[in-house]
Amino acid sequence: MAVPSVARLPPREIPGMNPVEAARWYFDQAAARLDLSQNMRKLLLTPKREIKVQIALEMDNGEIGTFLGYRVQHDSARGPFKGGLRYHPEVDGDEVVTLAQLMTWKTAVVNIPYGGAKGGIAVDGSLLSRRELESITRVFVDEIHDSIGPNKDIPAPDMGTNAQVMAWFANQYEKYHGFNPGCVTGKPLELHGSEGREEATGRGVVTIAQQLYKRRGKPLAGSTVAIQGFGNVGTYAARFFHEAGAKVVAVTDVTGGTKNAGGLDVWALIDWGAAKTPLAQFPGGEPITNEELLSAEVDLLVPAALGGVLTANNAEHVRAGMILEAANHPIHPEADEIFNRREILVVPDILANAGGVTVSYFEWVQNQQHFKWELSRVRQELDRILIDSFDKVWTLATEKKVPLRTAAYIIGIGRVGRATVLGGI
Amino acid sequence: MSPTELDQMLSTCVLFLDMTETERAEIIPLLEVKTFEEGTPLVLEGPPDQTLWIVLKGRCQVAKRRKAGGEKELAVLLPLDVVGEMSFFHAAPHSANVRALEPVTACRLSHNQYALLQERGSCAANKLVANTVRILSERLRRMDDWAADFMERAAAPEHHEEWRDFRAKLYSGWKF
Repeated sequence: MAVPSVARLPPREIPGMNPVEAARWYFDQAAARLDLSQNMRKLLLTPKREIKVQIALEMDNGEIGTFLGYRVQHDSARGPFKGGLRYHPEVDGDEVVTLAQLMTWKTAVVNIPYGGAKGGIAVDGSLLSRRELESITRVFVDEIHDSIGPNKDIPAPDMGTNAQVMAWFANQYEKYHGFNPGCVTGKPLELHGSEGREEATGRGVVTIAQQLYKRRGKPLAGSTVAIQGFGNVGTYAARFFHEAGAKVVAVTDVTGGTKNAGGLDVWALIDWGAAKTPLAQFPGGEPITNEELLSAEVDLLVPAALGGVLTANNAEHVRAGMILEAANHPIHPEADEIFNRREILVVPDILANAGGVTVSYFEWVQNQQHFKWELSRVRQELDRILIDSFDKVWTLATEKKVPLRTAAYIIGIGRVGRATVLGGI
Repeated sequence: MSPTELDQMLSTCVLFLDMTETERAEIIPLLEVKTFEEGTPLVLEGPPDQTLWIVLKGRCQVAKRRKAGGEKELAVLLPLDVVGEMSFFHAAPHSANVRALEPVTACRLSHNQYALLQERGSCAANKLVANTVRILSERLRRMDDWAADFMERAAAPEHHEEWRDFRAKLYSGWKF
């Protein structure tokens, strides 16, 4: 099937944007197509609640550490708030609001019954001991437990947090509210986590890629893929691309990476990465920098690491025909415009990396039902939801002649808008 | 206008409601009848003046100065309408201008005269107060209705319109 053609718009001036402004830019592109008034945009963008708390604890060295914790609950028109909890020194209120908004559109795009939220603590978790990490988590729960819960707001792992942090989180929450595993997702399997949760985002990326190839009338098997980022998402994406017959020809992480035009041995590379050995030294490939990876001659480019890596400065050098945003907002709006002009297809983050929150939803469903699903069922349900979501986005992009990103936002905003209208204010 | 004509006329004025002829006779001699040419003021917005006016003949305009300049007409007074009752019992600057729209005859009762009447323990003075409260209550009731209507017209249609517009856009031409 043909690529959705994009209606040519007159050149627009896009000033330099930070991630907050960039997210607003993307929202406004869709809101303009929906012809939403400024008041309705404000209604949809304004968070329901913003929580900012002090987290004080005694550090291992005897000093008192004071940190700021945030939880932004953006929208609950479609269901309980849902979104990650990140521990990162640069967490701040504005960024968390933007990420919470993205979660609202993301849960709506994949049509799972949640709203959007985000939270975090401004701390470098890598500098904390295990005891400090546990304490900071428990104190945070002490401060916000009344505002969260399985039918209110369900946090999940994000940057700097993991299944262990979620286990502490749930344990502390249950001290106040009793047994309630659905209060948080991304928990360890032993503590009511779900099969397939860890692989979900990476697997979802490949499921979406398969649909993209199908729509373009090309086989994924045999095509070439470059992946920037070899953490959880990049690793699982590489594995599933490999299993689908694609050739993963370049992979990088923050230290650099490796390339092999004939296809990297993905299983060996995963073992190599797990041993914390620099990817550039991988014996099955040649060293490659991150910048070189972004301009690699491949069929599909998968930015799966940081935000803002593709900018006006390097967008013209990209040689991939398709980009799949496995990371959150890896493409600046300036670069996005360039890709639209060059007819490079971009699958936006709110669709491409929605596998994680979708399996979080499955985990919550299992917790609510006190019934555990097999991995095969998790995968089957995930595929069904993502394939259906991709089809809807593709169809709307084709019908309305808009980029896939705008189409995804239109669907997300439209669904939230309809729920808001039906529920009333 | 003779005292008999004045009494006959004022007997139907709300200010003299429920008063006997004797009680009216206590008040009428204290009233001062005045005539006004078209455009001349009976009451000026601002200066305090504890005087109660009753329009006897002709029409008067009640208007309030706008902050942006000019005046906004609030009401037109007809014969037997009462004005000045707010300042009469509460010595504060007049809240509006009252001007004759045509040749007007009106009578006034000064607060000093009324105070003398009250000092004598006059039943007519008490009824005058009760009737003034009646006038103010009726005005307050109309003001409440007006305020509620104003708020509904000012806010709700805009909200409903925008809400309807939002709904219409979401349900026309889009498949989510």
